[in-house]
Amino acid sequence: MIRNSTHAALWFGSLRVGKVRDINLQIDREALEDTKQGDVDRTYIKGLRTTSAQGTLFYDPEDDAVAAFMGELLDDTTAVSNLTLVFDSEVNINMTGPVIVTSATLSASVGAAQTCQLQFQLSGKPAGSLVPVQPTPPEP
Amino acid sequence: MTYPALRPSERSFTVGSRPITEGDWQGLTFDPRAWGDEPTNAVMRLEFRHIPEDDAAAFIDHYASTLSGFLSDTLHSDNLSGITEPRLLERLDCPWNYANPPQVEAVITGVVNLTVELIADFSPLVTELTT
Repeated sequence: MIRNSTHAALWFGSLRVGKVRDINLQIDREALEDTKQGDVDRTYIKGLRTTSAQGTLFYDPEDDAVAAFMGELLDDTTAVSNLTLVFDSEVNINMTGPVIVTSATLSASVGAAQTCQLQFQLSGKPAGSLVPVQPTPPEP
Repeated sequence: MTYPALRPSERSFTVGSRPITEGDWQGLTFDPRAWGDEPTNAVMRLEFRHIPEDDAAAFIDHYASTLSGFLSDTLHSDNLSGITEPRLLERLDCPWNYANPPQVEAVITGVVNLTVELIADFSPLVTELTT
């Protein structure tokens, strides 16, 4: 089944962001070259993985999650919050992990709703799954 | 015994220089004097990028077995992989000593970069010439 945007959601800690325009998850893997003298084709081994995310929210200061994001921008502590990107809540397709908000762009344009574009750097391997995980049925 | 059978990612070779003495005193010119007929101090640098730690350990074990670089060994053919010119291979087919201890740089878990610098040992050749 092809998912559409209504299946997606963004959570910041325990708060679900009410109005989200888009979310993006990016997982990069370094390729370390181990080509040897005498080879005719380059060869590689797996390197480090990097997970980052982006999201565009409609700016609604009354939304608790949006307020939490705004608070995070000027937070001087070293505390790190959890971000969860949900691609289908019914079958648990989501990725979650501690993030640092690395960039925030608030935009107010004539004739358009105010938005806030956020970029996140996840720390470590994200938990969750990108394939359907059916909820465990309750014990009879 | 030979060096560990590892193919390098990068190899550079500097041909040795002839042992020459030059004099330049005021009022005198001095022709260069050669004190041997073979270049000395040829240097080879081998770089092994993104190799497993046990491959690097093989080189360190070999370094330890050569009394910290005072005993020379010939190279394994894998150390010279990629060279097709027989004359060049012949030049490099001599015993080599460690010019410096092997250098190991950690990259990620279980993967390292290794750099080995060798200096040619022509003493067997000299022995051949004098016997």
